[in-house]
Amino acid sequence: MCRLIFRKPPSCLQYAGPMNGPSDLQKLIAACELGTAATPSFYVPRQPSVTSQIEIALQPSQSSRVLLMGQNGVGKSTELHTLTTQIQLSRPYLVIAASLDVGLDLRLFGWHEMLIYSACQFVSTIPPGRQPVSQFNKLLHKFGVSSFQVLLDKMRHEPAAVHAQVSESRAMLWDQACGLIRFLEGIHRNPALLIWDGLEKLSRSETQKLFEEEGRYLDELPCRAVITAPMRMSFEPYFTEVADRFLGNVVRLRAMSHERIAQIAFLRGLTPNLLHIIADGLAHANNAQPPRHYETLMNRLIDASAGLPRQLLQLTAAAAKQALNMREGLLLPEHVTLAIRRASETLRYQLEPGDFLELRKPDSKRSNEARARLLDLRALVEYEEPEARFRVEVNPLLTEMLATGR
Amino acid sequence: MKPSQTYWFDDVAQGAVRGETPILCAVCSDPFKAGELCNWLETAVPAFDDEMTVERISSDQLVQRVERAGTEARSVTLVVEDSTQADDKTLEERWHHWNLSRDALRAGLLAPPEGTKRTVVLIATEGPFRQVARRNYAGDLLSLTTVMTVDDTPPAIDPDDKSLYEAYLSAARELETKYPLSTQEFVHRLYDREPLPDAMPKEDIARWRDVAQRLRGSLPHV
Repeated sequence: MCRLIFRKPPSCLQYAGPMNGPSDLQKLIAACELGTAATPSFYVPRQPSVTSQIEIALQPSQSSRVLLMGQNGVGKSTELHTLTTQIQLSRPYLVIAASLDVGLDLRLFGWHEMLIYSACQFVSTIPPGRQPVSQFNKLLHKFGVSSFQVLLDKMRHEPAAVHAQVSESRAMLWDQACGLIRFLEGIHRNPALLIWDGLEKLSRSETQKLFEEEGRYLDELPCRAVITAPMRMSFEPYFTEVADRFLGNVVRLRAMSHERIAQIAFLRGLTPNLLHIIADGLAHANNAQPPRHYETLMNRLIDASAGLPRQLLQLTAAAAKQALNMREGLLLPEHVTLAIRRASETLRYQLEPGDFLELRKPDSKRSNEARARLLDLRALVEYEEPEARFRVEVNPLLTEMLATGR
Repeated sequence: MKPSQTYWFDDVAQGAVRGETPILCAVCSDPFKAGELCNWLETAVPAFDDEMTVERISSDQLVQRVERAGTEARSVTLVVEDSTQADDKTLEERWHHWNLSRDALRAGLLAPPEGTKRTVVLIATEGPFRQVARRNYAGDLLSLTTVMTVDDTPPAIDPDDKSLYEAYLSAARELETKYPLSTQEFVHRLYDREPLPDAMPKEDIARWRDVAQRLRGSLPHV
């Protein structure tokens, strides 16, 4: 495996600078806070650029669609956030984005509800006096509400009732939602682009229902769209049909190489921060020169991250919190070991005995179904592999468990 | 596959006060042990942090109570004592609902002002929790949660585990040298409320207590 070589960063890389003082560990934890990953200064572009691929695929017509596939924590939301920022700057489209996995019951909801939700969410950001309440009275009346905001709340809190109401008047409500998008395009004088994030969280049966059984509605979306999906769907027999609906515009986001995830560690300040924690701690304790200790630790965290940015941040924060809890000013290997063990604990509960048998097999011997389940659980990780179709490996969080059986 | 390590009740209390995540899931072997853990937390959490109160709430109250806690400037541990006590359908609905509400839960728990510590401890039992985990209908919530397998008898850190055992042992020896006291004697004095060396700062007491807990039952006799 290639090792990270610490060197002076390229000039295009910037970070907030070293962080000194007694709260270095806390700053390290803060730098790992989830939800800040999409900040432009933390963004490490993929090669080839994912946002460029998507933008090119969207160009031809309003019926252009892109399917963005990837495991949880691989960086899809970060790419979509960057795409949104770029488009908002250059303004080729009006971006109507929604994180559908937060607050919406995707077990019940289909394309109709998602379209209504996204359109209403965008409209609700318009000042109340300028919202097209009278033009879309039928839509609001159908749900027994008086405003778009109340409808959004109802979709979040009464999903079963909303789903039943949608099932009664699907065609009419689809029409109304398309009308809302047209209205928004009119006032913004730009063609709309739907960005639907969060669909990678769908279960296997929900994915099939949405993309295969109800996939025809994708053809009827009123504008361009980028839609996420679970990586597992690419192993399903109906996947070719789905890919055809997207005219082959399928972007797979895979786990990052060691070097690329090391760039993220650097940009977010994890590497420089860790260096200072180690250097300050050792200088204080032993009057010693900071050794290459931090490189070993950072490499260990990067190896354990499985190339998944979210896993790297969670492990680093957990290790720093272990150090704080143990009243150490210094991050030590045992803190990292404990953090890795803590993180693997959830996986131990999630895996069935049969999953362990599958994990011990080479990937070529695994059934598609087993691979799909293990990818869903992040027990398996699919890596960037330009030379091959894909490379699937066991999440390093499980290495110790598989080796020792405990 | 058995869990990798078993934690003691005090680890959960410590996790509630100084945990890695604001949401913990403590998995007990059965409902009786789960009840004992709830009782333990009511006593132990304030012992770790006297500003932190403990509230026992039911599963139905969780989301609303956390939202309210986010508006209150006081440290609190919310113990959900029945998080896995339900029939299969309700269990799925409950954890799915929490999964959908995960952002709201985190926002409430991490709300300002800084220094206000809010924690949720989901008390689970092994069988139903395994079902929740394997069927993966709360995967996102679990990825934000520290899962701890808990027992009431103090288990030892595995002395064969070189990477951890040696490090903790060396920390214990360092403190034993600094204060002329064995770790066993320190623990004895701490729990029997006998006087500790005058010069021992709070930080060292806490650190030694942590180290002793991790080494419990596996300290070599000197």
